[in-house]
Amino acid sequence: MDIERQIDEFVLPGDPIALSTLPSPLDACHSIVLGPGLHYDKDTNAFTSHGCGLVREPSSLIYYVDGHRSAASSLSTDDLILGIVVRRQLESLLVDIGYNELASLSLYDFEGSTKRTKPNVDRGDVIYGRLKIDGECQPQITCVNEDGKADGMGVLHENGYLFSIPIDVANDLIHHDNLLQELGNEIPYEIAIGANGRVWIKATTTRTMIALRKVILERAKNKIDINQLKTLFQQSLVS
Amino acid sequence: MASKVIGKCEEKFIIRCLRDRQRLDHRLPFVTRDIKIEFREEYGSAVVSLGLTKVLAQTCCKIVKPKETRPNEGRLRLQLKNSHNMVFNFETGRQTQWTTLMSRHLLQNIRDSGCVDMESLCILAYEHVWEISVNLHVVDYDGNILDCANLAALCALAHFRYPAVTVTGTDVHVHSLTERNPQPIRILHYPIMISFALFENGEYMLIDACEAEEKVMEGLFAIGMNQHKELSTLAMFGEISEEKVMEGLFAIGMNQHKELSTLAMFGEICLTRDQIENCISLAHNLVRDITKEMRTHNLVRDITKEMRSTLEKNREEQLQMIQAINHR
Repeated sequence: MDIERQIDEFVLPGDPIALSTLPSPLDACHSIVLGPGLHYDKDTNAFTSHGCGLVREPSSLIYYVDGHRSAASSLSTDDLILGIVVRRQLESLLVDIGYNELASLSLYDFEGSTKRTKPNVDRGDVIYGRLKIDGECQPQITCVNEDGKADGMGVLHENGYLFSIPIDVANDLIHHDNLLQELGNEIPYEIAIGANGRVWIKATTTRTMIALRKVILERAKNKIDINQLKTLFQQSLVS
Repeated sequence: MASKVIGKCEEKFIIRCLRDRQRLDHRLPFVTRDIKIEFREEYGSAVVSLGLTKVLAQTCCKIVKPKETRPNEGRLRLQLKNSHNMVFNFETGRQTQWTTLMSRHLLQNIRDSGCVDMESLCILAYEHVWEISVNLHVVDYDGNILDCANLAALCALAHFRYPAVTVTGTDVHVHSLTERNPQPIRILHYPIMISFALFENGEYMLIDACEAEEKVMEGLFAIGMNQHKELSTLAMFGEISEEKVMEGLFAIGMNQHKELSTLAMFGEICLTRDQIENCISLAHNLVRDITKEMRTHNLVRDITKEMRSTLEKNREEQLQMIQAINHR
């Protein structure tokens, strides 16, 4: 029962996939790029799926499986992520990023932090930082750029609200933010989206924050168009 | 509560919302989410949704020897199994503790409140009684398992039918489903649980906390009662002070007829007597509505009639098929 799946078909882990334009393996000019959820076996020259979802081909020779992903398979270095501090140690913090293990964040990796003036961070604070992960060592987070500037990273204000959405939706929102801009035309707000599926929002009133959260969760559940989301937002503000 | 690290901003936000009298899904503080009860094909199988929290209940029965202390009463078993969604909210090891605690309170609420007529489950005293087992599975977790599981267990018990039995002397003959109609369990009343999530040392209370609110709550106060305002359970989790609660108990003891079957306490949140009385009257209104809904919701449907008619339909179809084959 091993039917080969085509592009835009639904696959389960283990399904073999027939990719449309397959250059011969020895062709040095072309290379296929396999995104998350796909695996190539050299011996049998076969592509199998490692995830659940639809097989997508966003541009020629680039393929991936589009579906809900866990943090363990989709986080990579240089991703901006949101974490919660679990423990403060002498020179570093242990941060929960929704991965198998806690990430480590050195207390010197904040803007303007020295041996004498370490930042005032403790258990429960929300961190926005850049991830360095390689699957073997403990993941590490840093809250400064190469030139020592924070650039928006660091400890986020405690008057915000943090909640989770599926990782693929978070990545979508990071790269195509029409919805977020439209919402920004309605009310002023701050938002930080982590590639590990966490969203932090802050607005002036709790009512606005609840409405924002509702709209983002609705967007996460099903991809309805922007105007419907805007009306939902207006209704939530009023009710 | 017994959970992994929660962001400070999450706690602060929920408390700010409470102060502004708002909830994350625009509910009023003392309103439950939508309840959906779905009865499935097999007897005793029900799925109850409380908003997004879903619990599946399945019932089965078997004949066993009764307990020696109660030789003419049937037995009731209840088991609650978790979903993996909850794993993310709890530290390792605490999830099973939480589940066993809730299992215990569910069992006490349903068995010790006397809602199921145990004596009617007796077949032959000292020898054979029916043992009804209810298995509860949490299919989807969005806060407030206790209420949802309790309702699922009650619906499943109300829906369940056990085979008819004839006893001649010491011979017990169990009739199959086609020989005689199976019998429903005699349920005397429906003890429904309403949970109150407590915040800020008892100052704020919410009925039916969703997952985000449950992560942040300091204590849980659950009341089990039926529509006649008779209490079947008072359970408190988290930190509630003994003295204040004893005062509250005293007032309750005066205005109801049945004895309390459960009181469980841990730690110290103060709940004054007035607060407890308030909770009870709020819960009572909700319980009346929920019981009405349960009653009208498919329970009256005569399921055996349906089963009979499907059996007959099958027989007719088979006869037609045989005739068709013969004609060829």
